[in-house]
Amino acid sequence: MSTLPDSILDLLDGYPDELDDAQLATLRAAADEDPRVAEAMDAILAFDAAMAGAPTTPPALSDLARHRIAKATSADTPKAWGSPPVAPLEARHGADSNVVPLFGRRPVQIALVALLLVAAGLVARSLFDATDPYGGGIKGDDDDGPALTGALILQAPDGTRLASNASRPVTDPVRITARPSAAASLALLEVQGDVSAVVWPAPGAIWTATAGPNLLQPPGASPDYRPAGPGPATYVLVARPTALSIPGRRINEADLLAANEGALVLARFELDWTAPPSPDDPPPEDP
Amino acid sequence: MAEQLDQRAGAAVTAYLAGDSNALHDLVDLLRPVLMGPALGILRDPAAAEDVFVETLTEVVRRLPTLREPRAVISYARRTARSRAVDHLRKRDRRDSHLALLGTSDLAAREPDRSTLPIERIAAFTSPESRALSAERVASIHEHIDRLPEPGRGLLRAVLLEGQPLPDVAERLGLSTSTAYRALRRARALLAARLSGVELPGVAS
Repeated sequence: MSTLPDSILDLLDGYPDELDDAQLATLRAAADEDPRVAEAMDAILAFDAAMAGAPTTPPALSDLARHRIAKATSADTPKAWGSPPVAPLEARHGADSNVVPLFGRRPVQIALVALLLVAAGLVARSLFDATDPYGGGIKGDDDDGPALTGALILQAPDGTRLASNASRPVTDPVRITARPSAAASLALLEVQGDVSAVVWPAPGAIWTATAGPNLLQPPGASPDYRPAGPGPATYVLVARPTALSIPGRRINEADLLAANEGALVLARFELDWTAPPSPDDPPPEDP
Repeated sequence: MAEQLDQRAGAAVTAYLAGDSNALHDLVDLLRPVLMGPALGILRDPAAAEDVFVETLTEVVRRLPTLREPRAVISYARRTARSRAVDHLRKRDRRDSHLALLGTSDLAAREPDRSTLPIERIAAFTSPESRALSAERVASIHEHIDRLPEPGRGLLRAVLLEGQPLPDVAERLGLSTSTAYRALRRARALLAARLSGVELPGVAS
């Protein structure tokens, strides 16, 4: 057994999070020279993972990851990579969801639905392209596909579509639908005053949306949503062609975008949540 | 087991380079647990681990034609994934430090999995091939901890073997939490080096 210089031990001491970039480069160079240093680095990572109670079983690849791999490697057929795919959002929705369940249908039916969607998309684009008050989208950086666009649709539980900048009592819930133009990982932020929070998905989770309408509905729960309190609120729909990483529930738009290269804002929606009428308020006057 | 994995990966690489595009799917199947498990351990974030996996795989596939020995693909991919995961971690830590200053980070509030002792998880991470190897690894870690100097030895025993929270152990040993943390980090580096077969100068056994 040969000895290890104290300087390398010091670097191992600070690995991986307490070294500056030059120190990390030195340690990596040492690992390239001596496989035992590389092994020690692995052991330290294992130590840290174990101490943090990190999960040891990797999750199945998401649809987005498979798509990204197929694209990056120019594979002919992105078959299931030997693992069950992550359940798409529509599979987690109830019967009243407005998401079109494409998966599991016959090819002819899929082609028919795809044709209808394309036609509907063209009609919608001609209607809303210039003046859509419900959203629009920002050109993405997808280099070989159409720009990712989308809209945010807020509706009353009875289906009435709300206009951006509308007022609504906090006691009246809304249902939120994201409508990206292509499959994407989404996050919905709510900004009320100084507080910016992630409405969906839950911390650590990934919201994988298919092209078209995706109703925001937690599994097994009602899609009805109310804010924490009254006041003007802005809803921001953020998308990324690959999985969005959301480090915390309380994060603002700038930090979320900074944390996810390639992420973009698809749509914004303003809603003025008003306080519920108090019993002490005078009754409305008869017209 | 590791040799079998290298053989299968080598065969997939050879077939892929000979024009069999389906071999790429086999390689993905082989690499996914090998790369994503450690990436998940380092990052503790499935989305980020998946990013690391996709990025690593893309780079590995791009470099396959230049690989001298197809069987070495797993080893090369492991190194690449580890470096990328650490880079992600460092980038995220810098960002989280900023968020923590703003009082908006809830990372610390996440509840870790405590169903197994840390030492068993270390053994599983460092010897993922089989339970038998993991058991040997646990025994080896025990031996090396016994040879460490104090207070690192006591700290590692309490934290690793008994799964006790560091602040509690520090209080019992009469140390501040920050001193105990520094000592634990040093002991961690010593333990890792010794587990890797490195002899350390100036360290009492």
